[in-house]
Amino acid sequence: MLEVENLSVAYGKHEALRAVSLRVEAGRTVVILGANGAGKTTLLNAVAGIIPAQPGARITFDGATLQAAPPHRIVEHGIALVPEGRRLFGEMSVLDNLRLGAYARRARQAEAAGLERMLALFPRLAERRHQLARTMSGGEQQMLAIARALMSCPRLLLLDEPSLGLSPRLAKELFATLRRLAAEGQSILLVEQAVHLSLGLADWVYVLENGGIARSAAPGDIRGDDSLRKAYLGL
Amino acid sequence: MARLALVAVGVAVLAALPLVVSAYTVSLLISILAYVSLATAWAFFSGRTRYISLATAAFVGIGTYTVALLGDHLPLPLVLAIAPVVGFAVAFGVGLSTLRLSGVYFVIFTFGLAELIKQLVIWFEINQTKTLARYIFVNAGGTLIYELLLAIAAVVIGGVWWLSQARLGYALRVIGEDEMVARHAGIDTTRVKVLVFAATSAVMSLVGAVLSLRYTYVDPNIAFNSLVAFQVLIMALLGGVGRPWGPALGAVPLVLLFELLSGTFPHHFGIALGLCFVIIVYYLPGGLMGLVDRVRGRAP
Repeated sequence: MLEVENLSVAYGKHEALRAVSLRVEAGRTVVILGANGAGKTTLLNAVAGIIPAQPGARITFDGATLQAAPPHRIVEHGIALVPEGRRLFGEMSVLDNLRLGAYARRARQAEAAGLERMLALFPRLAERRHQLARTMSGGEQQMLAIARALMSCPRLLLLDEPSLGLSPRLAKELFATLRRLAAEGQSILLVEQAVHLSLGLADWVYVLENGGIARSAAPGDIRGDDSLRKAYLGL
Repeated sequence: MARLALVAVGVAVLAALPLVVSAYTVSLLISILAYVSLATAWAFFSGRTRYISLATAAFVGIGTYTVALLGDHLPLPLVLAIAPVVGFAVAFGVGLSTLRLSGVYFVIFTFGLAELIKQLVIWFEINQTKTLARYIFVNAGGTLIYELLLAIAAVVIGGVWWLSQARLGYALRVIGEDEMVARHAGIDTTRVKVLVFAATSAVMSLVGAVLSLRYTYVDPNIAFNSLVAFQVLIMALLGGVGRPWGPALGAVPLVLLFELLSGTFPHHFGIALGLCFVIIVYYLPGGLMGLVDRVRGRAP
């Protein structure tokens, strides 16, 4: 479904990503693990079109070339990003945030149906639909950020450290929601530092270190590999 | 529906006003209506996206100069149709090249642009046409100017009210809140910004063209008066930029105040104006509409 080949990104002279290649198959959940500064956010932003890739990169999504497309085009192709730190429209209501998620042309027809689906999937959002987004708790805000991204009817959902700043209990709840989405067939590319929770969700795992892929393995292999856990994941 | 009827009655009453009030009052109402349209148009783009434009005077001046240049040669309706097209075209080009600038750079650029256009017109008039001022011989009475500006103000406020609830209005607000996420949400932010900047600038040029009909004499310093940019900005801030009605509500008291000040203290007008700016920004950060909300105990 998503194929990334030879993706390099530089901020000035600093190379944030070096020749990264990865794939996400339809209906699968792929997790990218890595410490702070490994390049996880850069990777997702490059796929979403926010940061330009260096020449030589190839990003394709079901055959369509994405590497030079602007972000709003990429949304139209069916890729939605839940950005790091949620980045909600704080001064707008929960409903307005959701409606804006359906701004993309591909989602306009389905706006009403999508809204109904989101409010059923996240009952807390239904209760707080008229509240301003910034007045909600961290967990609720994260739910809203995910729901907003889902409103664009993505075929692939990108999530950038959704567990950041959540209590362990809320993080667990969040991952239960993601598991439900995956079970419904949603393809997911998740970037995380919460190793245990992520391994429970993943079909395939990449370990990112210093801007390069250090390891690509099934989640069971990562769990059993002590040296890897110590070296890259700080466990 | 009842509200719509009320608005229609209100506009009809305003349209009939010149029949009963004095010529001086009509000229005061002309200023009010002109600034209502300017402030509403300005706030629709700059208030929502937070791309603060100080180029209002440039677009007003473009409208004024379109009339000054073409008024003798073409029929008035055609000239009034050309003015917003010129404003739109200039704003479109400027928008494409500058709306990538963010924050303070955009503010400075738009201010520089207004000065640049003024200086270009001065250069052109001195070196090419050998005139520094022009007479406007178009025959238009105060009542005609008033009715034209009333129609413009009604259309602008109605349009802004309607667009505020449409997808486009949301898109503008979201661009103001977090432009990067707006792009993630599938909004072609460049297109939205450039089109709305150009459309609101076209309104400013139209207002400038109609206003020019009250002058018999213009020069670039009158037509491209940079003070206008700040006056419009402070009117929008006073009224509150978040609501369709806000800027219009801010324009009315300030036009009256400026009229009073320039009549009473003609030599200290600038000082009084500056004081107004400081007081409004300091004491009414959310504008009058924000004040109403606070009194009602509601979040803005």
